Amino acid sequence: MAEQEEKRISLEEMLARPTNNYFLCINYDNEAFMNTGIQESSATPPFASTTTGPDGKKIPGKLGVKQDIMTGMAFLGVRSGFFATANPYYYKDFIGKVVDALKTPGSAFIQVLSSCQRGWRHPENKGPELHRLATESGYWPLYSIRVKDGKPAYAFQRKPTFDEDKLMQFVKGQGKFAHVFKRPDVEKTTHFLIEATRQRYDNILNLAKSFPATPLMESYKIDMRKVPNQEHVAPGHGLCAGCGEGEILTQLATGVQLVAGKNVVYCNATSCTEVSTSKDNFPSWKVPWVHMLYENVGTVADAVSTGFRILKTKGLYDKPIPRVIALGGDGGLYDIGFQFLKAAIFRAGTWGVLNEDVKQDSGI
Amino acid sequence: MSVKPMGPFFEPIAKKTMLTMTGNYAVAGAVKQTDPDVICAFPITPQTQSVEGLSDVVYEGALKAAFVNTESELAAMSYSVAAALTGARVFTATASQGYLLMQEALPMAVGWRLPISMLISARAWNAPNLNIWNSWEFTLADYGWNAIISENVQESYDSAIMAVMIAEKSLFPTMFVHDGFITSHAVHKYWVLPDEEVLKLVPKKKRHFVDVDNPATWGGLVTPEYLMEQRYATVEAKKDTLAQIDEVFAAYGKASGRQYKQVETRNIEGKKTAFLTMGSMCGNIASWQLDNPDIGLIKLRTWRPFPADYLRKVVEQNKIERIAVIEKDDAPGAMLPQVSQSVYEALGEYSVAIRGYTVGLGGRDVTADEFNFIKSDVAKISGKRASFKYVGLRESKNKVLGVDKALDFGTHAPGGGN
Repeated sequence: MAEQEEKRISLEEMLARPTNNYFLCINYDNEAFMNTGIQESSATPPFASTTTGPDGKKIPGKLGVKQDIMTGMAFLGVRSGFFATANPYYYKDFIGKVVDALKTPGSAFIQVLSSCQRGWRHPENKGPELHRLATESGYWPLYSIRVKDGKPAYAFQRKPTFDEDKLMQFVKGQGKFAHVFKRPDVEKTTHFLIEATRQRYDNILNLAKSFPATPLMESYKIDMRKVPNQEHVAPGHGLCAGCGEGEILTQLATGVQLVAGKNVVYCNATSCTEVSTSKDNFPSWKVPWVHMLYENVGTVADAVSTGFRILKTKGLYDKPIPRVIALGGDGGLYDIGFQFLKAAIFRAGTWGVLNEDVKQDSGI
Repeated sequence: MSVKPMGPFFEPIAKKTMLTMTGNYAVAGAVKQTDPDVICAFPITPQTQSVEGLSDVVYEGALKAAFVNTESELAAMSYSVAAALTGARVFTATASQGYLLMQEALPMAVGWRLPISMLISARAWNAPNLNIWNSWEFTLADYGWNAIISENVQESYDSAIMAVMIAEKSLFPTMFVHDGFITSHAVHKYWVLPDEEVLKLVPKKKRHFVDVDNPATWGGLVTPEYLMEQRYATVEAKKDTLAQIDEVFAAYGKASGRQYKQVETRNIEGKKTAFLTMGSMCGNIASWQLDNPDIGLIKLRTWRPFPADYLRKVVEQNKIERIAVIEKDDAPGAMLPQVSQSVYEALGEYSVAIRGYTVGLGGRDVTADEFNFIKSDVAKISGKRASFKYVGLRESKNKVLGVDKALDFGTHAPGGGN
């Protein structure tokens, strides 16, 4: 990719935007059904060993490739929206994207990589390094797709590169791939893994060339000294030590709080974040939090948002409308929850009648 | 495409009016009068015109509501539950496979005590083949939803309003049921209450809901330390519901002049044998009773919670000896289908002989022939034995059990898609 000018998006500039979004979907991707005990999902990469796709003598872990849902989400045909990948290692980028999404009308979807020391099988303190390698290798490029008037525009927040050595470091750092290197067909399997990853990366680059933003490179400028600590999730929770989701929760809440203060409702799919932050009578949440089922978090969050907006429109709710965050992962949004996530994102990006109503009637 | 039949509800209704409409449109009109905030729609025959009618009044500007076309029935129920959690008044409707698909989200509406109202336009479900006509799918499972059953279009209209009243009084979600096609697509004359009268019956109250100033968690993880007490609390709270339904029936009766009872009877006084059923079949039986005055009719208006005490009172007062439970469902592997089961349980201490009769599945007409057969069959029984049989069953190409002539299958109007 040719060297070119980079756009700097400052926090102050985003917060000053007159536009708003009240509904954001977050999919943390830890590449398997981790909450139920590391079962294979469509997010699982090739040859990763899971409890329903183990490293057997005949079949070496997952057969098939890792599903890429970002592209499909951004090309549903929505009129406006903000779609992005994120990585908790690049925390300013993730926080920036959360703020950006909540200040851009239409669909809002962020797909964030989340290490899982139990499922990926790496030492507790290696999560951040694996996160970094994922992006540096081209396995998890950081990009956003802004859709305006139905037209998508790609931008990268880190210069995209594909680096085979770093990809191998990323793979070798995870015990879920350890068997691959002990087999006689190691060359064939690693070749497939590299080529499948490269293809996914190439597809993103080619789309970015076809639908480029100007400039193509951008980054978020956030002075973390001026950003207050989040007060949505209490420090006590039951996540495993070294879990990527802990970082994600903190960073997500930091970004949401910048825009919404405490005027927010989190909706959680059944997942590790759900069970580890809501137990019995000592939940970790200091703001309203709703969990209903494994698969329907997109729909639930959409409905909570709609409920508040229609009540406001009808004069039955007198406070400012809360932001609603749909949070899911552990394969719950890739597979069982895909339909609900897709529908919620699509409705948010196309169905403007109610939004217009709310604007007119409540002066938002 | 605008649905013209909703025309009468495009303008305010200022006085009691007689209209002529199908069951589904009548329900749409009644729901419109209750001023719902969120309507969740997913199409399934024979329910669809109820939400079509509501989209009409919303898009016409006659009702301010979020009309949401959801991605499935499970989504429609998920949407309904979550929207109700904000305090919005919510209506949805379904049938058959849609009801089956909703199952996973139905218990949360009960657990969170959300006053949702839902129309079921009762229809067979797929096994072993697809059939879009009338059977009773709603008896399969309720998870603690209230259920009231209507016989005709007037009762469906009334039920749509009373379901909101019952749901909001009991804080349990409430479904109201009419028989698919038989009532949902039948054109009847019926009386409509003035808008103002309806709004007086269903005033908007602030319910418990997600409150940003008073944060709470909903649906978190509970360990064995807590779940039993939570279930117990739900079951205890449910015990008040029958009395609350009585209050609603009384209040609605006062406003409309139509007084309902949870267990209604026709020509029951002094009858030793009674037919017990619910829904549209009650009308068939009532006309059949003109030639069979020796048989009484017991009609369940409330299905859940099961009005056992009222049923016992009817049996006691009239010294009933035999009850034929006539129902449009069955139960492979069980002793009795669902309605018979509940009746059997309710009358456990009475020496009344009970038999279950499965009729009319998949929209098959239930005619006087079947009632004649059941009458002679139930006369032969004595003592308690849990069993049920099919009536009106095809035994060979031209012979149907209990029916004098072979069924004519050419009479069903096509009902559209699924």
